Amino acid sequence: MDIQLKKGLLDVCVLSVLREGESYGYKIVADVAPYIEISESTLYPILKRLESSAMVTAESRAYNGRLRKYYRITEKGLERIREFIEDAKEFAKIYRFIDNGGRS
Amino acid sequence: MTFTQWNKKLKKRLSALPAQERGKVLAYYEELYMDKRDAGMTEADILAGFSSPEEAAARAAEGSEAPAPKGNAAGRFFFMLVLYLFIGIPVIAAIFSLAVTAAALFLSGFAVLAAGIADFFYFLIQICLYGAGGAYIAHLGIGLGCAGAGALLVPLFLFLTKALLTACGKLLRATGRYIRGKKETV
Repeated sequence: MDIQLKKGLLDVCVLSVLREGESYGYKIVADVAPYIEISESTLYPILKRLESSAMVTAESRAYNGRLRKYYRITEKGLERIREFIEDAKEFAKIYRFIDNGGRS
Repeated sequence: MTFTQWNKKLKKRLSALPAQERGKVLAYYEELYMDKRDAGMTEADILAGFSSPEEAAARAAEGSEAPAPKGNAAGRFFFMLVLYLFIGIPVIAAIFSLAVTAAALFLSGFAVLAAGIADFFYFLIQICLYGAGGAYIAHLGIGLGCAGAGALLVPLFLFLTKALLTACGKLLRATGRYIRGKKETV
């Protein structure tokens, strides 16, 4: 898969996981991995990017005698998911056109 | 490789990042490590999932900009040249001399140890041959004392030699990095 396309998809996949409720690094990887290839090292820049663009917020809280960082989606993040769904409908139309050999 | 070793390598590879960003990356991997361990994974499985420290550092640095070096390379080279002529070279020479001295003392520690043992056995034989005279018994004590002192000196001076040679190496590497205008990069 194209790297840029995958990057965009991963951003939305992470946001989708967070739409279900706040989460943390290990769980996000576990939730996304069955659908698209993702590793811990891939997740870090995604979370950083989403946080810096205010699509998610992060908060460190004590867990089991140590700190764990929890991520929560913002309204801007939800908006990004909605935009993606709209874009995907367009992609689906284009895909059908290509799949039909250029016939609508 | 253990997680501590992996983390140490990652930290080294992240040295070009600002301290705050570096702290965030290290905390991220530490949290993941603890979560995976709590989930029952072995250290080997956890590290396999993390990929290499080099790759982890490269990913973590995505979108981060390393702080720009101050001044140009020629200026830094000239500055370090002047600094080295009057301070750096004498300092390195002094550290290196200390290291050589420590190495000599390390060898002398062995000599004292060997001499002490030889003295002990020599006078032990003398006692067997000529009887237990006071001077012979005193020499046994001296021999044992020397051997003990030698045994204490050897590790101490070995440590000192290593520390001083490492200090020389670090000083030279830091100078090289400064002249190149960057810290250790990914």
